[in-house]
Amino acid sequence: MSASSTNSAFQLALVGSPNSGKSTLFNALTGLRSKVANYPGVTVERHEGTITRPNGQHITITDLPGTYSLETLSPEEQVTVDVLEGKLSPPPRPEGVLFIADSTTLSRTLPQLGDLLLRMEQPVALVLTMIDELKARGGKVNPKALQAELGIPVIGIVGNKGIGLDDLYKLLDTPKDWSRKAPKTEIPHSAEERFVWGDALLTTCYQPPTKGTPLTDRLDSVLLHPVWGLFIFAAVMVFFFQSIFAWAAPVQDLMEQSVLQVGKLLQYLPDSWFRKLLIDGVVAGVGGVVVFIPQIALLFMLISLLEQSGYMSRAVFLIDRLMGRVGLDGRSFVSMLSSYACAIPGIMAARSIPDQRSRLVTILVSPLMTCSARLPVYTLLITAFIPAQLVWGFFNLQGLVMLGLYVIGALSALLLAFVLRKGPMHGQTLPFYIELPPYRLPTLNTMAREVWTPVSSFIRRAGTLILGASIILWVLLNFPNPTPPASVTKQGAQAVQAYKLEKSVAATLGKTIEPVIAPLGFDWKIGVGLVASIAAREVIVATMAQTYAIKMEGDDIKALTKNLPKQLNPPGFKKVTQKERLAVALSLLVFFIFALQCFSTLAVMKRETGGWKWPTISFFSMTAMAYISSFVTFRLALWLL
Amino acid sequence: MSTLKTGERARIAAVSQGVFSARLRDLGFVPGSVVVCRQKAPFSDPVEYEVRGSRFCLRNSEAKDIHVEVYEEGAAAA
Repeated sequence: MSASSTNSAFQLALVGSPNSGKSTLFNALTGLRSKVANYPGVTVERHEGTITRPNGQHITITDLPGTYSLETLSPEEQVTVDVLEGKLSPPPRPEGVLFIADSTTLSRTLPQLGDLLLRMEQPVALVLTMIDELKARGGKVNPKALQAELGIPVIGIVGNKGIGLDDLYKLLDTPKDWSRKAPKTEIPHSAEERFVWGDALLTTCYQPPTKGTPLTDRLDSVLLHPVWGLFIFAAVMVFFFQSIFAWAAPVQDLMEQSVLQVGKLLQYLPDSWFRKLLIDGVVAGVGGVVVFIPQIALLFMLISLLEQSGYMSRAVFLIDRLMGRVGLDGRSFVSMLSSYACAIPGIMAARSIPDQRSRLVTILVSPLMTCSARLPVYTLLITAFIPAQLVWGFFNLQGLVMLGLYVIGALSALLLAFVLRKGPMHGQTLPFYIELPPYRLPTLNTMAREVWTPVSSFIRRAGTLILGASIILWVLLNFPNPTPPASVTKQGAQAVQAYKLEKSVAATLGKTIEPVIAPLGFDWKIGVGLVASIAAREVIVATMAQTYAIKMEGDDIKALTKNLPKQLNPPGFKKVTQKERLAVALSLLVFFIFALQCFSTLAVMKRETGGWKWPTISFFSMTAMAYISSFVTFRLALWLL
Repeated sequence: MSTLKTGERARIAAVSQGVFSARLRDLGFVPGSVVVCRQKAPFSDPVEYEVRGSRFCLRNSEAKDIHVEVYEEGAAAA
């Protein structure tokens, strides 16, 4: 689509309550033509798609965040009002609005439509969704009569089955002709009276559902049960993490094999520094990171399933009491769970929290949750150092250590939240509320969108940030590349490699900072990795692949896990045994629990909190936490092991 | 409303004014609306209420600002 036709497109916005079927309708209307964009200055995602009608009419449809009211509480709701008032640009101020209302809850949402009609002069149409469900539950609605009452077009649809879409399309063909007559009864300016107005209006043309939602009721009586509900919640969480490790593994092996094959293919290139850069820098660095794509995709898939099915809000309901104890909002749970995938969507999910302080605390603790970028680091160190033995017959020790790292991350997040709410962020918060929508079958279309957006940004990051970091690292590690003296050459190729590495620019830099990190058991090689991983955690794997697996060309993670237990030496020790190396590994693991090494997280934090203050405080305090905990771990491990 | 037992039905009489009363109103908790106490979370807080066809979960600290009269079965519908 050319820019000029998009510019002349009619600007249509979708407005409505959360869970009103707005996104389903948006998907049905725009399909694959939709794209995700951001609003200027805010991180609320914008879904937008331009369609062309057979008559040549272009329409740009924007899906605005769901609102319970136009008197906004959360930043997310504010975006909707700002767009409607033309305060955010892009997108341009809508020329028409589709108000989407779930027909089973019309008596709640009609007053909001009244408010919208009072605020906007533009054409508005009412789209009633889920009319099949309304009928099945003994209710009915007469769109024609409603249209006569309200003075705006009213259409009933079933978004996921495509029923009623033809009428809607007909309406969309001539958006400029939408009539906007005065409603039969004047809309009151007082919000409370608008409920009376709505109820009176509906008596003639609407019958609310008389039957309940048997499936939802039956599921809820178990899933929200004070005992069984918690039991199932725990099971869902175990399943959540189990699937990430167990199910993603085969696909991950496949990815690893492909990376290895690429490395092998590159061996056919003529021997040159360029080949070395490609194999040791690019393939080892970027390859070590892209193998985690299956795991990340699966994480987002599961979160999408939980959200779409309606279970996520049930989990919030069950866990709210605990969250309240540490001074958080039940919704913080959604942020924290998403942060297991990546802190960025986690921090962005916090925008639905109305209370400023709860929101800020949630944002600050989110980076402590074990995000998927830590997985490469954890996996590497655990496979290298923790024996795969069984504990009590069926627990794998490696799995237990991994679980332990996750638990420490989550507990420290809760503890930090508690401390923040007792100290700097104390005070009354806005009340908590959440809707428990009926259970619904997740749709593939929505899931695809919710998985593809973060995965594509991860791939982009691997192709830019991590690729760049890998190349710079490779250069720093391989220059100035001096000719070794004869005494070294005699000892063989490995000694020559070690000599060259020892004399590299990176080594010089690493040795400068070694005194600072030596108390944690880290030598200059880890130091280089730590500095490099300030950009993104997983970069340390690429660095270690280059510093510890140097003897293998076209190396892979397996060579690294073999080398590490022999080479991870703490500096300043006269005699290094397995015990000291294990202490270093544990210290490094603990460092990664706490340190906030992620440019992207800092950038999102800055956007969400409106300045560099909080990211700066976060970065330095989390690094300090990491330093202290690593120091304690290292000393304790030396003493206890 | 926080004193309602699970399964009990009531009609909202009044809502105390506060920072949150506007949002409670927009969720449908307005005088005259019928509410059903549906389910209580572990330790009886928060609680799930049904109002105007939607189900919301509120903490007891908010629910106590909503004053209700227990609704007799068979009385006229809202």
